[in-house]
Amino acid sequence: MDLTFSSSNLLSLLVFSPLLGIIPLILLKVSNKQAGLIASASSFISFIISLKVFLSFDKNINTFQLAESFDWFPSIGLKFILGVDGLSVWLILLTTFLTFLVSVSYSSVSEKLRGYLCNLLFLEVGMLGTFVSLDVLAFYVFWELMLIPMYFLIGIWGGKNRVYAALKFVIYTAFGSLLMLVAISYLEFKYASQVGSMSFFLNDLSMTSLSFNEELLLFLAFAIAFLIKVPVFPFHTWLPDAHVEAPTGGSVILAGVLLKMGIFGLVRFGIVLFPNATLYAAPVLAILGVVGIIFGALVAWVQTDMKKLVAYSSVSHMGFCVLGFSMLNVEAFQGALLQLINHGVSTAALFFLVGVLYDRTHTREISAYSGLAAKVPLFATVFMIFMLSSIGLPLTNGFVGEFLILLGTFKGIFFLHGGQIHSLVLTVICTTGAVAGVVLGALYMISLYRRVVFGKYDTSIHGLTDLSLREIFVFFPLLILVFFIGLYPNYILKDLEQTTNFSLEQIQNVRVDQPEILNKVSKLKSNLPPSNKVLNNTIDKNIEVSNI
Amino acid sequence: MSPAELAAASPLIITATGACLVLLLEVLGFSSLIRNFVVICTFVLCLLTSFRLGDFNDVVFSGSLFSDSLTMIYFAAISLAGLFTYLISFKALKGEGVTSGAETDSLFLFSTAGALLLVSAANFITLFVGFELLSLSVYALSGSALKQKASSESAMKYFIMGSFSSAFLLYGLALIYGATGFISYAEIAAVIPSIRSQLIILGVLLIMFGFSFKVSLVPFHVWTPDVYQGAPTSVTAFMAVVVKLAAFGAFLRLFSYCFSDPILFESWSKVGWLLAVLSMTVGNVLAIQQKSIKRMLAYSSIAHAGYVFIGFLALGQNGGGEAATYYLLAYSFMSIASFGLVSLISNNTKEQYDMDSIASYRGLGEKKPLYALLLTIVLIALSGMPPLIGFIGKFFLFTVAHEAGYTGLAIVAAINSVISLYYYLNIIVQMYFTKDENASAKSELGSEEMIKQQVQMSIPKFVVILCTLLIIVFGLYNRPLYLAAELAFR
Repeated sequence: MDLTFSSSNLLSLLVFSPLLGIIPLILLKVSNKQAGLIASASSFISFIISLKVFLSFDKNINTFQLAESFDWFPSIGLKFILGVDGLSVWLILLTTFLTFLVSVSYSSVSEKLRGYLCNLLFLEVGMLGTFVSLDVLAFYVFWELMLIPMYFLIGIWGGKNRVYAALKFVIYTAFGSLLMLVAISYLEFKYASQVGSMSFFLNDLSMTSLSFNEELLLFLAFAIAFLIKVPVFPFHTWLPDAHVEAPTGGSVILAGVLLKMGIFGLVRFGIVLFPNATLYAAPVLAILGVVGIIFGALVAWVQTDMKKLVAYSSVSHMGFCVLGFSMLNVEAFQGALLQLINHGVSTAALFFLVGVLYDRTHTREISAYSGLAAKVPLFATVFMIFMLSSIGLPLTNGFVGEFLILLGTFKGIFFLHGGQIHSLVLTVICTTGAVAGVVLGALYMISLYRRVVFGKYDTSIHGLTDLSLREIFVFFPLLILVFFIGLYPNYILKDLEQTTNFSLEQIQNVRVDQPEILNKVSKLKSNLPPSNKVLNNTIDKNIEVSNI
Repeated sequence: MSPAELAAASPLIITATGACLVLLLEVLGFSSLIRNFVVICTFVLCLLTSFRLGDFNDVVFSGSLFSDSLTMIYFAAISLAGLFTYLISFKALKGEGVTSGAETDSLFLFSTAGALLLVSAANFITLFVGFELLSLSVYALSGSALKQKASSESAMKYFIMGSFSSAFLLYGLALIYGATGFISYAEIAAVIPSIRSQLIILGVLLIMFGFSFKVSLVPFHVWTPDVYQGAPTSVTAFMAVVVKLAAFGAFLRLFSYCFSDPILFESWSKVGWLLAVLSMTVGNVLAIQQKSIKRMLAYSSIAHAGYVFIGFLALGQNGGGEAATYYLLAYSFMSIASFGLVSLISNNTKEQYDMDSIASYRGLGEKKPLYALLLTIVLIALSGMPPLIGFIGKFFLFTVAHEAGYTGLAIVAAINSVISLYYYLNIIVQMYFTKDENASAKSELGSEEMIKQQVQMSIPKFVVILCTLLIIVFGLYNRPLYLAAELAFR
């Protein structure tokens, strides 16, 4: 996408606005209450700026908007290029909003509050920078910048097993991202040798011509980094540990924002830089997504720890996003993007809710609770709404996203795009898996709700009080979002459409100028049994289109 | 004396004179304060005079010294690093059992003179003299804590292993002299393409091994952990920075200038590849299980030498030398800061010999928040995380590795960076994530003293803070460092 420059410097202001809070927190010796106030104020300012960004964003223009470009390191062509599209503008809003909510609920942390808030705000810089960078190396810098604050959040303010969880989180993520760094340097080397000058700007790098194998390997390096972050099935094991050990605020940010980075990376960089490889790898991604959906749901079902249950439900939900992404058709893709935001809202709220219980009773065992509805009705109501949104009940936000993904999956567009021979089988697997995932999702969530909220109130639970005013203040906007997106999804979908169209255009272009893919398609055709006429026809049509 | 000759010689003359002057002052009974002042002045003068070198591109003193921009950059780096490590050693040396102030001061200067000579050498004789002057002074320095057995042991080990390296180097030099009949770099570089002798290949390999000892590349690294651990910490910092800068500087000059013949490159590059991979992997893997922080940093320095060596393999391309120099400069800052912090932390506690173990860093985040914060930044920088100084250095190395066709090497380096994260973060785990069990008793005892120490500003503390700030600043704005590296290979 092209850039529309702006003179307002709004985005750089946004990215570095958390420094407003960080600097006084480091320099001044303040009490806990003052520290919380400073952090809340600073994150509120960030939120206001992000609202301004959102309002200045014009959804009718198909460009990266509010773009800015600064020379960072001219001798190697490293620039700090910022810009937002329809996807990132929402993710930015989500980020600043959740950070604000987390910093407002600072009272759940008692020890070393200043350090906690500093790390939180540093994390915000990293997250915002990741979402707005259009320069691959700058993106990488912000991507890595998120790692260390999160490490500290888990390691210092976490639970019993925090050291292990924090280290696992860092090692997993760093492994992926360092391979990505190698890939970036290779891509840059290729670009520099073809063009003669250096640049890390996304649009420039996407012009690099690569052989198919090179592209596939580079995509693999990028994809592993992203898939670890999502996390997709075989790379997911860091997530439950990190979630269970992290403090509530850390879990909220982790689930609400950090997990989105993976899909965001695939959309922003993966598909643009390596369209052929994305197309080629899409079936694998789809399978991994389906496995993640089923696996996450089944494991969530048997958890006895509430937080672990929500963590595994994240694995399942992110599986939906990966599935939607890899279908590479408009419905599923848009659904996946919407689901990113939905998951950010409802899972973040669920983690807040678990945190509310934990703060009062210091246990997260499901069996320790029963019949909460009688004692804390407000809590039970709020819990129910977010539970239903997580399941994807109609009228809530979860429904729209899941429905779109399912719709796209039914279309099973594989054979139109990639020319994969197992297309029909794959479509069947994916649709069955996805539908089963929806059912399982309802199963574990409702069973959690039943065990905790219904039944006879256990009088041995001490110290349980209903939501405080501050907590209501935290949940209220999230509740509004649940219904707003559920009832009027078009408002968001229109923004997301821009990103979706652009991403899918990358794939469309592939067919025209990539003879390798064409060869594959025609080879497929010769392998097909003559009876499979429908498929043959589609492939024919496809090749015709591509030859034009 | 021509201006180029004067420029090339003045830093050398200044450091050598300074070294003698320090001894003289001691004999005449001047106070240690004046002596310190003289040493600092010497380093500063050396730094200032070295900037003149860049104006020339010349070989002076009948072909024995270079006076060019590469010399300038390394001269400046060495004198700055010498100054910083000297400032760190100020009070620390006494705390570590070093009694003879004047001798160590003059040894610091003598070894700096040797380092300068090594870098600026333009023929084999000067090279060897510089090599020996540097080595002998550092052997003595590492044994300067006379009361510590470990220090004497490290001096002995260093001496014996160092003799091997000198022997390797000398043998290599002799073989090349035998094959070509020349000792000056320029003449050798000119005749190598016409003489295709096995002797030259053997000679080059032996020289490479000789230098590999000094920069501690695997498998020539075995002395490093013992010596780094046994020597007084500020001397270790000196070894890790000045010796490495000088040895790598001369090494780079030799291989980019004297042995730059592409066919010759083919013959040593496979060995070089092995050295790089082994150094990175062995250094990082062995660092994981170290219980002493100095040993851990020693192994990490082995791994970093391996990273730098990637640049050597890309010397045939544009940017290999630059990338190596950049990383080396970046590593110097991190190294000074890390060893400086270790020295500060262990010297401020009463039970200093326990402070060498990583377990004793437990709870440091509460006991000494400033040092813990600085050490955290330095360790994260060492692991190559953005946006700190080590990151762009690593990125350059990756890029030149691709250009030279060593993509595999870049992948090995990346995987090694992940391994290194584990042990660097382990220190952070000790400092912040675990609590010291018997901390409460201690902190009650000396809490007032502790606060005093935190607030008090001392010169070593200032240096360490400055280095850490530079690690952050150069991470965000790397232009000065890049220009320096680029200038060196103009």
